[in-house]
Amino acid sequence: MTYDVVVIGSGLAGLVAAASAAAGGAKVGVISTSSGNLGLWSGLATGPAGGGRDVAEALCFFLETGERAGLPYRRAAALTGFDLLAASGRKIRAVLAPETMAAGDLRGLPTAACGSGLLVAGFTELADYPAALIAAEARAWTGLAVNHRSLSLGREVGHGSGPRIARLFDDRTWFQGFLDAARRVLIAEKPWRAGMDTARPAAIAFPPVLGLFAFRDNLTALSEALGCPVFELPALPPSIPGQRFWRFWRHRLEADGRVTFHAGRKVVKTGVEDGRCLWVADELTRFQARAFVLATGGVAGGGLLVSPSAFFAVTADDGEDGRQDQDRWSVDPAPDTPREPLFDLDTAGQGPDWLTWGPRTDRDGRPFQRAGAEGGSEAPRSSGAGRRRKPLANVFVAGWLLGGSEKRPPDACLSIVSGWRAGRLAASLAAKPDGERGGDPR
Amino acid sequence: MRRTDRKLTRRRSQPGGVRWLSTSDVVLDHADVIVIGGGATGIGLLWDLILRGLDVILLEQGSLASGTSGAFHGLLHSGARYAGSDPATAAECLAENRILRKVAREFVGNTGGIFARLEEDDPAWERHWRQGCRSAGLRPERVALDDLRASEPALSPGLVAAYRVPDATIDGFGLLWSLVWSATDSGARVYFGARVTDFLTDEAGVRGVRVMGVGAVRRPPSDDIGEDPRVRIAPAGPVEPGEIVAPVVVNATGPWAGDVAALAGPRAQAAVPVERDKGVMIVFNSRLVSTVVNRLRPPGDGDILVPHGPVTILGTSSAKVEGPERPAPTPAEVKRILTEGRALVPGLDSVAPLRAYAGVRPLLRAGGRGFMLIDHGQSGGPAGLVTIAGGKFTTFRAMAEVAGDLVVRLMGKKVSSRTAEVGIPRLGRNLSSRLQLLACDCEFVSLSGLLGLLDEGLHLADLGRLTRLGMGGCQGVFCAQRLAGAMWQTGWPGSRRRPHPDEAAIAREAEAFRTARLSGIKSVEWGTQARLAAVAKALDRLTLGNDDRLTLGNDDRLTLGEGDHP
Repeated sequence: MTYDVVVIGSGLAGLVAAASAAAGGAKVGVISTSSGNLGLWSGLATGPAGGGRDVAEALCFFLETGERAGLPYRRAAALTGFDLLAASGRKIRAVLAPETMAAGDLRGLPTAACGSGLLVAGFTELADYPAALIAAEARAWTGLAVNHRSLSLGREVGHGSGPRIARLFDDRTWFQGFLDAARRVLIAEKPWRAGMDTARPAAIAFPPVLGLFAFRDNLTALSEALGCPVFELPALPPSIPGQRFWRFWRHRLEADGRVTFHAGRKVVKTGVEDGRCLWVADELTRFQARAFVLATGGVAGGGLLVSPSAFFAVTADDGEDGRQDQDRWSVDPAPDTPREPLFDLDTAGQGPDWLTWGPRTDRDGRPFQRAGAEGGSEAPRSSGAGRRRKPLANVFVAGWLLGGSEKRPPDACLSIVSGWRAGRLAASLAAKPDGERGGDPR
Repeated sequence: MRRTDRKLTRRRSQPGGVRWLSTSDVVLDHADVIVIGGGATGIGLLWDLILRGLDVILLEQGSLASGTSGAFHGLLHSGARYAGSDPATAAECLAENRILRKVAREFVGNTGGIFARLEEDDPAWERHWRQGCRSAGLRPERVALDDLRASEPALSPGLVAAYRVPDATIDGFGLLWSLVWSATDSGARVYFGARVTDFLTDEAGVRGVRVMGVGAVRRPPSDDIGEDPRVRIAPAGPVEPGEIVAPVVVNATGPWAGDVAALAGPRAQAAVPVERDKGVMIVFNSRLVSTVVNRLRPPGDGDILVPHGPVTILGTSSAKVEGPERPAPTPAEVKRILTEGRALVPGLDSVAPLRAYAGVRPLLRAGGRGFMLIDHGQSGGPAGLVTIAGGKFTTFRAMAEVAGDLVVRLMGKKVSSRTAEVGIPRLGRNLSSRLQLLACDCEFVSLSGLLGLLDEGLHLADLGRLTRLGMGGCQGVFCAQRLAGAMWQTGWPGSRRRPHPDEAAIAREAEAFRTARLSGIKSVEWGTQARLAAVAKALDRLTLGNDDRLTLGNDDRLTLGEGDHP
């Protein structure tokens, strides 16, 4: 099979890269084993987003595509981002949030003005969502009056995890019954503020399970029925916002006709010649392309493997790891850094300059972006003396694989910005006549 | 809590017959004997004395087995490991091994053990070791190498000799919990979170201890039940000091033995010759071997493999340490154990490590792994204080027996120990059920079983030691939140009848549980465990919001500002 651009991996970075390459006019094939770690993602894009034109353009592209996909995201008007409640009830900053969560921006809520509190609603049947504890943490961290109330979804539902309950919310008839129960328990019984005589809570927070598909209509209907703003909180996996993202974006990209998904495929072989990748293949099929985007994830996604020797090279304190012996590299390419298993890319690079936005050191004062796979013409070519491996000219790295290791705590913004950029670069490289493709696409 | 304002008088059954009298208004409890230390030795002694019909109080500064006994490799020695270096200890281990197989049958995994020599190991040691075994009463049985390869395919093909010995595994946590519950059912009081800060003495010797932490012990479930004989746990936070009185106090605090003796003066401290030695172990997520495997060479690093349920523990190392607190394994130690372990099991790197942990052995300064009983009345005072020092898990019962003999002698009684005859029932067992909602998906621990225990006021970490909660593949990363919810439902830390959950305390518990489990992963972050740790950290930061960089003050900019760009 032949494409202009092949994207390997369909997590957040892979989907954004595919969309961005398609927007650049390329015919795109996406090869992936699964939906990546989207099922673990809360749905929030926490910072630091950093600055610069690239970042601004990438976020705009993400917002536009989300709007077209029917899964709108919001960007905070304030420079500091949204102030939202995290799954624990603590405060968390987010640069971008799904529409369903952005409504919970603490600064936008009229809590102080009307003197009424926030209500955290929980479902008795939903596992792993302790509404009372979330409310208690929120009280401690925000200083707002936060109360909680759990309501039962019905005896017949039984205990369940998010996906099962989200399916329930997609059922219109069932949802009408739920509206009545919610009105009764959450409003008529006035659980939001003991001893306080306001007609409504300032806003009501729900677990993020209000439908896999019908969530927008459901939130609107809930807000009308309850007479106050309603929003979703992030929650621990299995994450419905992540599953929504996978379904809505994939559907949009397929419907646009430029992207083909090959899901359930694991790339096991690559064809590399003269510093360029010509094809990648799973057990059955060979996929050819002019440019490739590698978005297989960092250590968390399985795109970087950590061997015992790599682990000790980073942490050993006894100097036995042979790291000082630079000559070893010329004869023995055994990595002392996490290994990128597909192309065996250099993972010890500094990372490209444009990645260096936001704070440049972590909490322990160590620099970010020390590890991460070096692909394509993105990365510096001379990282470390005697390195044997050369970057590949037409392979672009995106997502947590680029941010790489714990040295630069990765986040959704990294995936969005690097995915957008990798897709754009791959598309523009693929569009060039054959003779020019060796050069710097910038 | 037994708090009393009236004066207490009691006859002291020691030569001289001194009566002690407390006018203090904070006497919390009194008994015949106070045992300090809630590890294997202390709990063993508690059991021993209860069986002799004494009234006993146990004080533990942390929680059950939170020191050395909670960080051993779970191996019930046959003695063979010491046959070459310390034949006396070897014989002691063999005798105890036989007794515990009988009385603690429920807790012993009868895996048997193998001593295997690799080609590079000294054959002279093999002869020396066999001699030592014979003099200790062990008869190692030679194993055909082909048979061994068939039954233990993970072992190195480079083995040149192997012997079978009666090593076994032992469920230390289960055993100690059952002893605590059996003892408290017979009237013993066990105080966790109770730190001894001083000894109460008069001219005749010790008459009790001053403790921090017991002053605010949780009330019994209901006042009309009267006194709660079960385990009492002090909540976190500042508490008032109090006194607990008894004519005999036993110091069974393992690596803390010197520090506790020091509270009774420099002469008492000088009488306790204990050194501290750190040992590191790595837990692997696979049952690599079906028997305990020792390397047949002078005991060194990384040469014991102990299978436990679905995991295998590889140990151990040895290094002098200063403090008694459980230290963290260093990368160098983990690496060394791993390197040695690969010699025994070549495919070790393909198995996911779960965590690494370290314990502190209380070694006698004289060397060897034996133990020592110190009657401070005979060695510089104070009278009535007894220290039992050194030893190891396998010999905990014997240590308790000799200490118990001295205690009854000091009290002028003649009752002999029954711990070698009385079987130990397993208590609190039916916690695992697949039919109920699971609290821990890795180890099949049911939520309803846990709720009952949480209801008794136990901490999450205690539950882990009891049920292997959080000790499986996910190491507590995913279950802490679910448990926090369950704790709220039970009204923790209140009682079932009067549920008043304390949200802040629950959040602290869950946080401490998660942090403790994650800190064990930190030393073994490679392979699939690296991936799990990365996911756990990302969830912690990005979903739960536990990152101070994401919860900055209002003026800190996170998003666009043209000036931010480098």
